[in-house]
Amino acid sequence: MREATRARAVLGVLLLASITLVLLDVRGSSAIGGVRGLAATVFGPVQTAVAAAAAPFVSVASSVTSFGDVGARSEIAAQDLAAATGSNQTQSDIARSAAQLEAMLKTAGASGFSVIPARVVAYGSAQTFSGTVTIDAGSNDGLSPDMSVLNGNGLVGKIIAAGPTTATVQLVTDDDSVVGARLVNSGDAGALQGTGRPGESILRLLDPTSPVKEGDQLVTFGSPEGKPYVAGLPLGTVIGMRGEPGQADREAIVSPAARMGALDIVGVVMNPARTQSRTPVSPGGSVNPSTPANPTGAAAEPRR
Amino acid sequence: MLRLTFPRVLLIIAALGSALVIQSAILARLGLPGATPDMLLVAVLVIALAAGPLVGTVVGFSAGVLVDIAPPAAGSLGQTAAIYALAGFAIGHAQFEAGRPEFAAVLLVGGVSAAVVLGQAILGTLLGQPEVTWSVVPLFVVTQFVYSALLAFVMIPAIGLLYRGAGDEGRFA
Repeated sequence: MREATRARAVLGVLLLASITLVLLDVRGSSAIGGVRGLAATVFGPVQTAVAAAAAPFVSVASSVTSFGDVGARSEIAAQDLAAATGSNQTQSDIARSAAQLEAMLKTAGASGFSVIPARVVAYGSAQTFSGTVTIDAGSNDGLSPDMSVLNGNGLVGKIIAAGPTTATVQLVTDDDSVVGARLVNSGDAGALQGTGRPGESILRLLDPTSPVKEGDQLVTFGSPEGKPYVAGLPLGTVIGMRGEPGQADREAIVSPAARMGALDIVGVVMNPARTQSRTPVSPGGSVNPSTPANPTGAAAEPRR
Repeated sequence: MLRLTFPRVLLIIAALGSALVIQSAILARLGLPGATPDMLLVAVLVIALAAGPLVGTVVGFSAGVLVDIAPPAAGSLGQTAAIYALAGFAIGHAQFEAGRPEFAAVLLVGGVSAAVVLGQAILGTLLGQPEVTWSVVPLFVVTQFVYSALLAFVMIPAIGLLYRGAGDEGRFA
């Protein structure tokens, strides 16, 4: 069969081409970066439009398939809105988004970050084991790689690529993601490694003898100038342990704070670097009891 | 055997692009259990079923490249392309009449999709993704079989219509 022979030959050529592409990509070819940028320019706006059109449908379906942790507040708001306007799914979707936006701004405000709000418009496939999503803000909005992304529950991930109108976010659950973490109670530091599964990441502590127990909270350790990760954001909760205290391969299983299966409104941190002049502190000096103690000395900065 | 006319090539490109957008912007956000329904792969398999191994291989490779470069992809470029090309080649050898969701064709699309999930996990491990979680792979394989078979029921007639629109009576095998 001529057709069968030709098909085999073409398959061979294309498999070789695939291997070449994989090798080029692993070495970080700039041509491939350009092609990805082009694809983001073409597909980004289409994904944004389709996601917006399908939002009511998706929000109803995902509240059926998940357990809707958006909170009683948005449920009530949604009911109020539905009652006021005649029940309809779009209204409940708007209320849900509004509640998520409010929660996100609260998280950002608590740490003093300015954020650019954005909406998640596309997810990668679960079977690729990579946790990446597309958001509907891009380099035109001032976004660039290595910016932190958060939502109302805590850290979501970081930007790994920015097209003109969309950007790709690597979630903390991605199997390539490693985030510096600190236990809230003990202050012990470690690294949170994604597994590709949405509800389960692995925490490896620098000191394997440190006491960790179920229910311990994690926050981000933070990077210099907040890139890629800003400090102090909720990161997750320890839900289990593997290995005995003192074993070098001891690790904690962590449930991430942000529920990755139900992301909608997120915020991109724009001004993490708060360069403050540090004031020398002399021990034994009189402390004004009316000013609350501030270990970072932030309050000592003179205001103009 | 199917001739590749220019309108037909355009239709194939349109079908693949739409499938990719619907998959990433709608299906992946539904939070369905297990694997994410792979509409693009089903489109490739249905086209390959109708058009044979040669077209199946080329369409599979192109669709795989599309998956690897379109946002929010982050894996190695070429990884999905190799697997989809193999899948299109393999299923192209079993030729069915386009446009009729025969039971055997639907099962075949489901089976090959399940094999692709397994292939993705194996290739991911070989290419050094640090933690492909093998404990969930069986769930992904089973759910992908179900999702793809269901999608095939809809997409075999849909793509059959597209072909007819491009000037054919509906029989290509």
